[in-house]
Amino acid sequence: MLYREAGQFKSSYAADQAIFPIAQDRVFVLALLFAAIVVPFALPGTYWFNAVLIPFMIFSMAALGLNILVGYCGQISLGTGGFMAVGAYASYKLTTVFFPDLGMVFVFLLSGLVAAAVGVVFGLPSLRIKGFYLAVATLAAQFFLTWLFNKVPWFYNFNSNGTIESPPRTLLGSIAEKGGTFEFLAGLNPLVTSPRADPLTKYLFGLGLVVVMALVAKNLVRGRIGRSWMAIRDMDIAAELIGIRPMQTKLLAFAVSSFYCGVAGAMLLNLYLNSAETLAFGINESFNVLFMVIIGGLGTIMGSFLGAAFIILLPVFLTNALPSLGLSLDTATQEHVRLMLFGGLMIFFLIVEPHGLARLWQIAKEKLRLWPFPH
Amino acid sequence: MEFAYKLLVSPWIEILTGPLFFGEVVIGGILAGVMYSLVALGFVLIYKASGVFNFAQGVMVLFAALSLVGLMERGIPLLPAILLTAVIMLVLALVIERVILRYMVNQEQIILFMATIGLTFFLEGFGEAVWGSNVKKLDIGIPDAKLDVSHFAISHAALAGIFAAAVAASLALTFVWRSRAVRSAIDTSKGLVQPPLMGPGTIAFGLFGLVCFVARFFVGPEAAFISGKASATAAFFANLSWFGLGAAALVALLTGATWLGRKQAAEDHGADVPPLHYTWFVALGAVGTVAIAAGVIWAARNDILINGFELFAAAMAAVLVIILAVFFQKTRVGRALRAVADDHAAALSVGISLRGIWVIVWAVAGIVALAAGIIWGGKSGVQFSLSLIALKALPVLILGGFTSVPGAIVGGLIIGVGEKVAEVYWSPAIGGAIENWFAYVLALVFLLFRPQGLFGEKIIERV
Repeated sequence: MLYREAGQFKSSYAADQAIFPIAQDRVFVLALLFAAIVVPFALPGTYWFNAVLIPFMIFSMAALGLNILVGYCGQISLGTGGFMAVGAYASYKLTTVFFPDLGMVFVFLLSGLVAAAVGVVFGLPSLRIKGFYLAVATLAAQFFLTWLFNKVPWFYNFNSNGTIESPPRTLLGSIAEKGGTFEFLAGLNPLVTSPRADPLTKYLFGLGLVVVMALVAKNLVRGRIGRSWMAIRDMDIAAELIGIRPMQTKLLAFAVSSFYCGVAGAMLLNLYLNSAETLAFGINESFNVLFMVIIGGLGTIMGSFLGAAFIILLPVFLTNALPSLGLSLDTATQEHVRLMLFGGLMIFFLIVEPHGLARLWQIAKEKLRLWPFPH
Repeated sequence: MEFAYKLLVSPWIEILTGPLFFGEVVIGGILAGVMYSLVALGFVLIYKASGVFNFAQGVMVLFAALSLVGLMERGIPLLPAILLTAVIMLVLALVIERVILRYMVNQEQIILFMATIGLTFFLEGFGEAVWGSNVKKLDIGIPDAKLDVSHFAISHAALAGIFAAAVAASLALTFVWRSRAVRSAIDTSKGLVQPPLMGPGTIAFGLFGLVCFVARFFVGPEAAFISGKASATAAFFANLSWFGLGAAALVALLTGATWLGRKQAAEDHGADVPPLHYTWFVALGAVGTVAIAAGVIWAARNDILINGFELFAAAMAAVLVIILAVFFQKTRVGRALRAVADDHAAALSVGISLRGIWVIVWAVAGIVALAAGIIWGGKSGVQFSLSLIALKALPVLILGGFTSVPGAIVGGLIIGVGEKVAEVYWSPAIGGAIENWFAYVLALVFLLFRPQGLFGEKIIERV
């Protein structure tokens, strides 16, 4: 009843090919975005920001990146944690050693570029190796990169404790200070990183990055590049025969994907953890992000967000819901029950809807279109 | 420069000047590799029969070991406890089929893979909730110490004789196997494939060996010109020459075998090759066992460190593999399993129940996991980190091929030896603790040359 596109006529190709061609969708997304910006101002304390909102932004970014690689280009990768580590360490080196005055936006983008370069190197085997062989081969990236960051002291500035820390920096850096190009911003330019920054600022920064990057990703995957990725995914030999170059296409997918993962890693360090070791970018992160992509839906931008929300919220929900059920369990048992529920729900979702939450969303929309008269 | 020297030169010198220590490292690597093989074996069984990449194999090892220890803590003796645990693994297989696999037929592989990761979480929580999560000791009555051979009264001459005979027998096996492979390659291709007597790589290797051997007479111990390092240099060249002789002899052996295979193939005139009679394998297996036993006793007498527990583990793994091989080759169920592994649809069409096969294969994988759990648990205690050996088994898998049982075993040995040798000789050059990723990089390098693994099915791509 509410969700009908009848009567919405398109008079130009641009309107017809819009990301949200249906007016209701546009309204819904804009409302969601508005809520995402406004509602956090009303949230009390920092719990919501630190436990839910900021991790959600970070892992949405990582899931977007991995979805490009796995969902669109069909190259299974388990090296996400390693690429995130590259982003995080790159941002640390950039902010502390190379460009101390640079704004965080640029630092993040540069870290992404570094990660993209590393991603291309570790994507090279994909030219010869396919399927699960590739998945296991990308684990080499995961283990090698974390080992490297642990072993070479240059990466953590020869700290005695081997951790990297997020330095206090502003959004746009020196160009927004007095005498810079954007001097007028100086008054309202608080810190965006380090523990001293306001979680709300961090969240809004993350939100802005994710929204922009999601838009970029959406436009990438529905254009020529995305089509060539999907052709490679569906059948690489046939794609090669119709003139798509497998090397460029696959490596580009690795580069773009690692770029997103690198930015996510830089966000993880600077917006969330504040100080980290390589442990924070372990294989569990890789699996978690892959989970998000699959639970959310392979090959959908929407799915990356839904999957990230699901995987972030589920543990929070389980930790908070279990005690309130009146079950008084000791912490060890609670942890075990949490693991069991997590695993069980995972399997349950995969059985019920193997195409992910994005598919459920689609089905809901189709049902809604007919509602309340199903025939 | 010094880095390059440490990376490229000094490890080889160390290996060649201290061959006994190198042998120790290799033996330790083989024994560790056997344990990797066991875990990889479970993966391969399931992947072959159901196309599921079972990430939960590692946690199945943990679960089996936890159950075994839990039962033993409740006062059940070792053997009945093992049997009971086997029953538990069987029930687990049944439940997995009932609850998960049944509903996931025809899903994409990555979805099934993710489901097994979910299963990993579940089993981990479940096992620790039922049996407790503290570190436990699993005592199976085999001391984890240096092998004691003082009670074997065999003369050195007899030992050497047995050893030599067995080495000769295994060389014969290599010869027969190689000539067979050449012959059947020519026959099945109707003469289109003619393997060259010596490829460029073989020639290069043989020449290298010869050069190494001959070098001794020019710059050998007599020509040891570096005073102070004289004895080390002498040992280095002596060992280098033995290595060279071995390499040249191996090349000669393989060339001879190829020649024989080509000659036989020419005499076949396109007829089918008679299959290699399996008494060959039985005989050679027996000789091989004797050789290994003689070698072990000889090594232990000569103070090469051999761990009794690891030896037991290797023996147990070997027995398990033989039982599995007989089960697969000689029983009705085994034949059905192989049929399913070959082609699901064809197997279904001749009346093989896929679901039944899945239960069986998960149960077999569970029992393999139990064996691995006994060994790993007995070695390093039963705790959560046991499930992480799954990560160690993955490079073994890609090295050997997902679908090959021999691949899992050979891959495990290669990874085990390669890892130990690299850790001992190369890790000082690059900063230590390379165990974590070395196996992966090794496997990756192999993959670049053989994308389907060493023994995997050839990937045929059609459009």
